[in-house]
Amino acid sequence: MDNIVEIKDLVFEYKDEDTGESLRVLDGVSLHIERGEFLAVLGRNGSGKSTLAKHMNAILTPTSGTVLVDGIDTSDESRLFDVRRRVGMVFQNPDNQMVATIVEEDVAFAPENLGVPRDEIRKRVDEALNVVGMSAFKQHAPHMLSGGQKQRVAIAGALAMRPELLVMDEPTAMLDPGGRAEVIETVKKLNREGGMTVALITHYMDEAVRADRVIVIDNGRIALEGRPREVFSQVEKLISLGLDVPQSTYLIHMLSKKIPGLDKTVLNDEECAAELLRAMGIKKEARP
Amino acid sequence: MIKLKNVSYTYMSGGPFEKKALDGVSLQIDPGEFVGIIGHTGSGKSTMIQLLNGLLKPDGGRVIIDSEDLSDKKTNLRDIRFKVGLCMQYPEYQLFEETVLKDICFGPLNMGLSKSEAEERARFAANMTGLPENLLDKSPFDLSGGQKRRAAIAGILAMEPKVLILDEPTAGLDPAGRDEILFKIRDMHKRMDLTVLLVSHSMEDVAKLADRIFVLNSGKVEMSGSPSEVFAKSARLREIGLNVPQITRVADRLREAGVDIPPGIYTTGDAYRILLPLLNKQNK
Amino acid sequence: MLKDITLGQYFPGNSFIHRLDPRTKILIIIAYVVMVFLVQNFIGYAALALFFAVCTAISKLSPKYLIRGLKPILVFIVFTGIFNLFLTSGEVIWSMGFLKITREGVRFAAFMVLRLIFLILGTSLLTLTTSPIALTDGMERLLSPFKKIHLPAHEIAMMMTIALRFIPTLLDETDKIMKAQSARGASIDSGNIFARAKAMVPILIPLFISAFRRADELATAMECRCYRGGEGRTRLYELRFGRVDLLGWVYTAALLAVIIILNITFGSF
Repeated sequence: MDNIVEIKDLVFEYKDEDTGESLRVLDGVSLHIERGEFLAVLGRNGSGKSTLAKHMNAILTPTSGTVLVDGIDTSDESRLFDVRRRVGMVFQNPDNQMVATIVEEDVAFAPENLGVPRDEIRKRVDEALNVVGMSAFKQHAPHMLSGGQKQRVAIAGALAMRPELLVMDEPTAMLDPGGRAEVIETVKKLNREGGMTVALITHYMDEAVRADRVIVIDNGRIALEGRPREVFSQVEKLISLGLDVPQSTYLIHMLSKKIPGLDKTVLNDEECAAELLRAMGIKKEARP
Repeated sequence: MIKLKNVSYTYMSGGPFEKKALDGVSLQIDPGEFVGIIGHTGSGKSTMIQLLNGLLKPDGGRVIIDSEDLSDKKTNLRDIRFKVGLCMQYPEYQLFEETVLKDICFGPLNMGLSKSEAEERARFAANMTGLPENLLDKSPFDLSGGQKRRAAIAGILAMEPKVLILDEPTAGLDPAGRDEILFKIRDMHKRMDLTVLLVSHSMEDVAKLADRIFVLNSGKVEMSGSPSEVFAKSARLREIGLNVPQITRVADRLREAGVDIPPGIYTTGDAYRILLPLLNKQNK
Repeated sequence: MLKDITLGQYFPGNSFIHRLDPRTKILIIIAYVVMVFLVQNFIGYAALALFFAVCTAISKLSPKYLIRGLKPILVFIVFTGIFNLFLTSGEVIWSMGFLKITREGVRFAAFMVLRLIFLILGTSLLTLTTSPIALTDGMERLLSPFKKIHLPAHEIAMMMTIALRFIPTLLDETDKIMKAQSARGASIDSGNIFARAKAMVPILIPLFISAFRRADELATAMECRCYRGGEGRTRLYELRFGRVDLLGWVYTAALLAVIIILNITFGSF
């Protein structure tokens, strides 16, 4: 099968403890994630995107509908750990997902829990730290690392399970621009070179631009879906959903109201400049 | 008025982990200015803002607020803190009271105001930050992320400082939440006659609001000036690990290709106004 | 200000002492503590000092780190010394007014001070040469036979690891909260004890709330990484006794024998 995740009509409700009301966070989400794909999930705070992420490794299970991970129903409690070890999770706060006082011990945590033999743990830890470029720090204490480095260690900790899918829930929200770039480059490399399937939950559009496919969640439903170019060219719709569009895309969008024939699917400064040069009749290398 | 004269600050001075955070910084900020402070992590910007309200004391040089030298023993640092309101990064972690209103009153009560005066100020501050009246009697811990942020900012604003320093006020908020907060900050600056210092990683945020920008790098003021003066030096900014707004990069690329476009474009509005006639000319 | 506190500070190294199995080290420390109390004369302390000096030399640790460990309890040591010096009854050798020093007092004070110093030095050497994680690991393994009587050895060790992991994080956070509240005019370091205790509320509440939130997120993160208790867990570093451990044991046993012999030969004086 080609889909690592298949979600069908997922509804998730919980009871508000104060009012006793039933609150619907996810309202009929159907979604599949292909193996090897880089999917970005965009949405404003409270849109339900984090709740969706937590369904992908059975931290939460559907009120109704089904979630299949590698063909396994996440509601099947007897297979809980079969689901969890297939899905690596990275969360927002880098400080709150590290267990051990030494980097390599932390990366070893998941394989230790899974009862992996010692030599194999060693191999996995070294490999995982190498992939995220943190081998030099393996003896360091986590609190001495920068935010970006901590998140890379968290990624290594997930990779040490040898997961089929990496789900990242706003991994860059608490990082500075340098840290954000580090993490996104790492994820990109994992996806391109290692063939890792990635679901990146974010509200930064410049990160989503780099994915293969984008879905936008709003009010517990999928509001938009498509390749980044298709999604980001819908400028008005995105703004109405409380999201940003890249400044380049926005500029072309505004200009195209007066100037016909501009390509509205530009995503970055390079494409935007090239498109403007074309429209002005100045020859420079064409857009690929 | 804020004046830094040749200010230096060193962490863990004398030890093996000694780190010079600020190195001979001199600058002046006039009343009513909206100043942006940018620099990457470790550039010294958070040290600088802590020096401005006396949370840290300089090793060398002088920090002067309204002609009072903060190193002077006669200066009452608490009074300085009421005058220079500092809202730290992720300020929602400072909330502790039973209700939002009580929490916002914490600062004013520390100033020695009566309960009714404090509450009046708190209501005004809550209104300025866009916090709905009906939330004031709720527990601050029941608010959403964006609301908590506003409550925390209101807690500083209620002290009615002359200067408001905000360290990354939009960190972790989504785009809509970010825009709302920035809009409110601009509003406070105008209506309350505040001097505002906005510390941010986000060039777009700073570009939108600040009249003047200071760029810090390795504990020194690397450059300062109006946004368009600063963003005109985009090559240097990138060299020191900072970014420029995407639209500035677009303009830079166009200029390199021979388009007649001035340096220092930093908003889509400016780019639009300059590019539209150029494109129209071509179309005719 | 809070960053100056060092807890369980560990200096990595590859010396004989560093390579000892943590279980060996914990047991040697227990034996050492017993010996510190067993010693009855100054020759015994000389032997202990020699043992300790050799250990320090082997560990390649700068003695200044060990001495630094004594600083925080210096007041306590001095107090213990003075207390015993003046308040032990016996043969008076010096007196002034109501103050008097007895022969027994001198001896007893010296003993108490030496005991304290030896205890602190010993445990400092242990924590300086053993990573916290190895210590908790060793503790877990030593306690595991008691699982039969329902002692949760794994859970205790896991709790200690997490505590060690979060101490620096929470200290940082306390620092931040203190600054944030000072910026709102809270006066933390002035006023009487009651005022100061009251001033702690705006710091402690945010700190606790943050700690709970962290605990909650950490629990989820641990679940995501397939944590399910100690059952069926393997370890990156399995503890194994080696030659060095044997040497350590022989060395300790020899010292124990020496001290017993010294006690018998010289008695207590």
